[in-house]
Amino acid sequence: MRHFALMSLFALFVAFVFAIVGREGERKRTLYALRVFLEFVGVGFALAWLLYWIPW
Amino acid sequence: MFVTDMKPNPTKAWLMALIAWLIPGSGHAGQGRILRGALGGASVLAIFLCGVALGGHIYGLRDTSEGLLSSLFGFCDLGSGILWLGSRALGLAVSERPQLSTSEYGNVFLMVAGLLNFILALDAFDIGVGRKS
Repeated sequence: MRHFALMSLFALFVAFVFAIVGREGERKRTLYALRVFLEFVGVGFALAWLLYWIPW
Repeated sequence: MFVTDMKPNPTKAWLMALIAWLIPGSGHAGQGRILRGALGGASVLAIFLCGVALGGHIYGLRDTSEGLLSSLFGFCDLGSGILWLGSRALGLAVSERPQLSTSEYGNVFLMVAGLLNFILALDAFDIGVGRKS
């Protein structure tokens, strides 16, 4: 759970900065930040489950 | 010191980029983008503090503890500006703490904080020269 919280915090702050530099306009920035955050968390989840099932 | 007019000025743009590197978020705030500056600076600061709390440590540019990678890590950490300089000067978070299971995460947080601040400084420069609004 702590790892997930850390990943979410990381994703949140990185999403803020990416939105600041990556898009123009408040609405576009907000949507982009949300998208980046969800992508970080989603990809993190996907990779975690993938690595969980791979026996190495 | 802070710029309020929006005319492109390369000298001021370089100055803003330097200030933005030194104090996270100040490059945007200094050019009238207060909210962006505050959010960017707070994000860099929060990631940096998380990194320290997780047991990460600051690399120096001349560290050799992990070979050439140490210098690269040091360059990433250097991006945090005054946070990096202060940590190095005061000796805070400069020693490895491998006994903490999250210390490697902490190192990554610290490096990402620096890299994000580099991006913010470049963005502040772009605003200064009129490439972005």
